[in-house]
Amino acid sequence: MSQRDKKKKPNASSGAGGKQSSAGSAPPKQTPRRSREPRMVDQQRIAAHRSTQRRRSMTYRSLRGAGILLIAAIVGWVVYRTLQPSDLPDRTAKPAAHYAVPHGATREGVTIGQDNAPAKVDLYVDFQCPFCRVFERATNDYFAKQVQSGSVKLTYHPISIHDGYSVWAAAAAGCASDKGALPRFTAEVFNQNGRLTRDDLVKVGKLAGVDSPEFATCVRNSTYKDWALGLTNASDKAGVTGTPTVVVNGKQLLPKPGSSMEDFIAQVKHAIADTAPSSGSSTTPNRDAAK
Amino acid sequence: MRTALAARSHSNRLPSKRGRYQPWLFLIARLVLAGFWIWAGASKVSDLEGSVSAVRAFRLLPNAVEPVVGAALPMVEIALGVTLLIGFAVRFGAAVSVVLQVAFLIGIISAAARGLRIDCGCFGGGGDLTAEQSTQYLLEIVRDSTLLLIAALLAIWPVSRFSLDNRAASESNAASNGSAASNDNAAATTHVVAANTSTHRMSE
Repeated sequence: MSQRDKKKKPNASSGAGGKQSSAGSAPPKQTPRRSREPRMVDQQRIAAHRSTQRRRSMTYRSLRGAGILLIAAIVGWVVYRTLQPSDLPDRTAKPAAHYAVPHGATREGVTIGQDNAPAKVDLYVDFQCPFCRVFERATNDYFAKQVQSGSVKLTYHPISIHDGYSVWAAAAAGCASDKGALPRFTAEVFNQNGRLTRDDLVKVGKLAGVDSPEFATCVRNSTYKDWALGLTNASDKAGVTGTPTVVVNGKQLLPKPGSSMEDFIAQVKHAIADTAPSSGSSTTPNRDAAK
Repeated sequence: MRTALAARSHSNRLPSKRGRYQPWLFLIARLVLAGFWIWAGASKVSDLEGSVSAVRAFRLLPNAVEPVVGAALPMVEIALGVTLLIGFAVRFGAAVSVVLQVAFLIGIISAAARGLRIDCGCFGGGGDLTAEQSTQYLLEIVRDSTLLLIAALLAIWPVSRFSLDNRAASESNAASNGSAASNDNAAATTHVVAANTSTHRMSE
């Protein structure tokens, strides 16, 4: 350092007072090189050596920088995994051969509405799926009206394609079905943000008007966990590849990647309206009203 | 009578005025970028669960990848911010910043184009918006584009004041006793030397 300073000072004083001084501090290093021809080759070799050295040192620094970022990423992932509840259910587990099925439900799902409704609609949703949330919020009232007017027979399939809380939430949906409150419970689950532990799901039940000790016990024990796992298995067999999947009289609809939610909902409503026997004078106003 | 090499090295060198101010300007750029990264990471790191659901809200990545990105991103952002703050491997850090900002922009623009109503969760929070909340896509895009520009400039000229990289560069300079600036990196180093001498002179 001091050596370099000694070399610099004469330069700085010789070029003092001019704008060129700072630019001129580098060229003096080059002057001997240009003036002394015989040494030029040496100098060039040194320069080449230095530039490779510098490039190499920059590569090392970049590698170390990448290492730091990689370590940070691993730390983040490990912390995340450690913070996850250890008893989180495995959504890919196989259900037991015999398991309890909620009241009003089958091994396929929970069906509401009249048997003679012209449109048989299957709704495959994952409680952790954000797209399902948007879909549910936008169509909750619509489906309630359709079921009430007898034009839709609706089957909920609360499946678990996300890791984490989906199995608990789906099992809790079975508990809500016991109390005949699945549609409201579904709506309330989708009103929540972020994680849903089983205690949270008991609170969500209260919001949905289910406030009984049996419900709380059912949710906390995940009584219908195997039923929930079975639903996911059944949906795999039915060819459901993502959520939300809506099946209208056997025709499977799934939001296309890149298409908007409005388009998808319009598509679903259109498919349901098409099933109405008398060209759907009762469904069309609903469709317009929803828009 | 200039040799081609000398001409090239001269054209690489910036005019003295710019040479004097540039390290300071890029110090500001570096600190702004570092500050945004640390802010973004720190506001998410205490809620990794929320960070994962913010990533999920974009509906762009496979389900299995979303938790990895969501959990790793806050720590990576903090680490990136700190390395930029102390000036370690600035060019690398700036290049990674460019890549990340481009990825964020793709996410936000595609979310807007698909009609999703989400918060980007860039500084905590995130996820779907309720009916009453409105999207902030334009603000998010402008902010990320600005950061992208800053990161790109830093990746091209990674030299600024008070950077650990400078110390390493000047050490290697002193060690091999100086010679011609033969690549852009070396040219950039001379700016620092120039800036150093000018401050030396000011203090004398």
